[in-house]
Amino acid sequence: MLYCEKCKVYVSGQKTVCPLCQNELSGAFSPEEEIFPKLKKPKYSGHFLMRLITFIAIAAAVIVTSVDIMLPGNVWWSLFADAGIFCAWLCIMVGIAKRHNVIKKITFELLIVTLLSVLWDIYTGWHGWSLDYVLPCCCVAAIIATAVLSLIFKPQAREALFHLVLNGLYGIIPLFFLFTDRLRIIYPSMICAAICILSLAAVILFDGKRIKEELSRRLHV
Amino acid sequence: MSEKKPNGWRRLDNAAKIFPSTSEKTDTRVFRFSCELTEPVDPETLQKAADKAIKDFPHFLSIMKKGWFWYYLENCDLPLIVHEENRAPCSQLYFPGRKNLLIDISYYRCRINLEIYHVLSDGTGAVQFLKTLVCCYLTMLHGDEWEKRPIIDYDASRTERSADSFQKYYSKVKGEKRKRVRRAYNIKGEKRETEDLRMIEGITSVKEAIAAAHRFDTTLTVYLTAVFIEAIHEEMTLRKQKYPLVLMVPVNLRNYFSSETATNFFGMIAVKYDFKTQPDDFSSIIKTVSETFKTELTKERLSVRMNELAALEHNPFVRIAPLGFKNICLKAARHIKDYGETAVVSNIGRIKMPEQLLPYIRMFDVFVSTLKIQLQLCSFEDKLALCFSSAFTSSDIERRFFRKLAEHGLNIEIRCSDIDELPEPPEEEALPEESGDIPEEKLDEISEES
Repeated sequence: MLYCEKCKVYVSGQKTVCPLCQNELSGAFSPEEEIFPKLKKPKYSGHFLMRLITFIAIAAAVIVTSVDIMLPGNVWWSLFADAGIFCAWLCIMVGIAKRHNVIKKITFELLIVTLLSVLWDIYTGWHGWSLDYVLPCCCVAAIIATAVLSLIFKPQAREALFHLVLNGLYGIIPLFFLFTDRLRIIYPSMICAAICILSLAAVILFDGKRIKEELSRRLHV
Repeated sequence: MSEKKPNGWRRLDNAAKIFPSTSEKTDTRVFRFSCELTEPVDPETLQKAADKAIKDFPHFLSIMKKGWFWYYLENCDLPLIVHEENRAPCSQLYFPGRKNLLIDISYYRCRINLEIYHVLSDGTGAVQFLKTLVCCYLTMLHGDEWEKRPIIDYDASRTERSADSFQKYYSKVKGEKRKRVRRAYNIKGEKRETEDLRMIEGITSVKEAIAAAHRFDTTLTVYLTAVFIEAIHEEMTLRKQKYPLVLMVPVNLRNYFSSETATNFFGMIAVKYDFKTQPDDFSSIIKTVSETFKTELTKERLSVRMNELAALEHNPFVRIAPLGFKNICLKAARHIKDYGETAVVSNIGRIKMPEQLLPYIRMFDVFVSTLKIQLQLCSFEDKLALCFSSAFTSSDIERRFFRKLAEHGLNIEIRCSDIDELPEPPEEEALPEESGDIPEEKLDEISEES
């Protein structure tokens, strides 16, 4: 065992200096005294991909905007490009952040994509495409995807069930727009609402107990 | 005996509720208990022992999930896989959104390490599990040699083990306004990088330490706490001495309120010492520490503190706040509370094992993640482990602490988790052989000898 003359303590393990005072040690070490393995440090401390994508997004926005300022013209077209970059960045970030839970990711992406498309529609002169097509189509896609995933990932069936209910409730929203006459084309919304109501009814009737249980644990106060 | 429901869930106990919101990469809220055996660990037997031991603690096989208002624990069937130690002590165990166990068993040479996320259990619960694990392991290896099977002195049904004792002893207290947090002395110094706490432990003899304590007419815990206070004091600048030095001491509430739970059931008491108004000689420190312990460690005082904490959880406004909002508030509250604390001393106490196992066990020790510096004490037979976990790069407080003990006549063996970052003496480079790894042939020779 090693010994530190200054601290008057024995030091075990392979050490070049005293861990307490950093002075030299006397004696010899024996390797079987080592109690901690020597570990390599991890290279990146997480989220490297997120930082990289964020940097690329910022770089793209900066380049686009500066080109816009330098080129002649009165239209601020770069604002649209910047907004587009931001939307893409947001969707990717949520995708990465929720990568460990695909089912949850679908619900989050559904919310973000539909909200962003409504915003785009509003700021590009309201043509109604976001409510006519995007909202109902995304809801149907999300419900189908969740249902399929629940069959593939059996252990996550409970999670999927909960998100199926959330997506189902979200998919009824188009009905509201339909009855308040805000839609130009009603077919997608009607089909979406029908599918959502059917899936909600099926889930509640055939798996009501599990839904109740899942809600009680998620919503306990 | 109640069997584990495949998809059962349970609430976090009162103390655990603050841990998830305040876990950070640097303070992972993970603690590690290790048992050092006299012979190298056999991984396969350890795996079998772990599978057997976890059956007695089924609630440790849980994952934590986010609800809308609180976190909760869900039973799961993930296998508990024993592996060779490959991460720094007290590394992160809970990763938001990921489905993984909050408990980890690893081994390295003669040591079995048990790491647990503080949400699942406190030190006492973890010790019970480690004792069961070691007992299973040694029985599998040496069971044939004994006449009697070793029995762990832990008598609790499975429901008792996972029961929340805070709920049981909670009663609403009125009056007594909460005092404002007074700023305590905060150790300043360069912090270490994330996931990279430095652990330094000193092993000494219980008898020698008790003898030293008796020379100052006091108990072992008081004596060591006083030495720790003095060690910190010597590192304080004169200007900073206007702030009191506050040591937080976790107390095992099972000793005061009847409970056999293996989940969290502890409280905190504060030991204050003000160098501005109080004399700085060692005997005065001992006197103050010992008086504080006497007044604070009573059932009445502890129950007041416990109810204060639990009242937060029972507050209807807090309860209906969304989890994200709670997290922000609890994090802020923690940073404010941190201002009122200098360091933590945690005494695990004596770990007892059945007689048959004694020849195979060398010692136990414990490390806890921290943002500051924390001293853990635990003893087994005649081995007293004084374990420091520290977020600082400098080891001056540890040095003063151990030098003081050495001055008092204790023989100390120091062990340290990493040396890579410590400055190496310049002449080391001139040596032909690198000081990094031991050549493999040499290792083989040594292992053959032993």
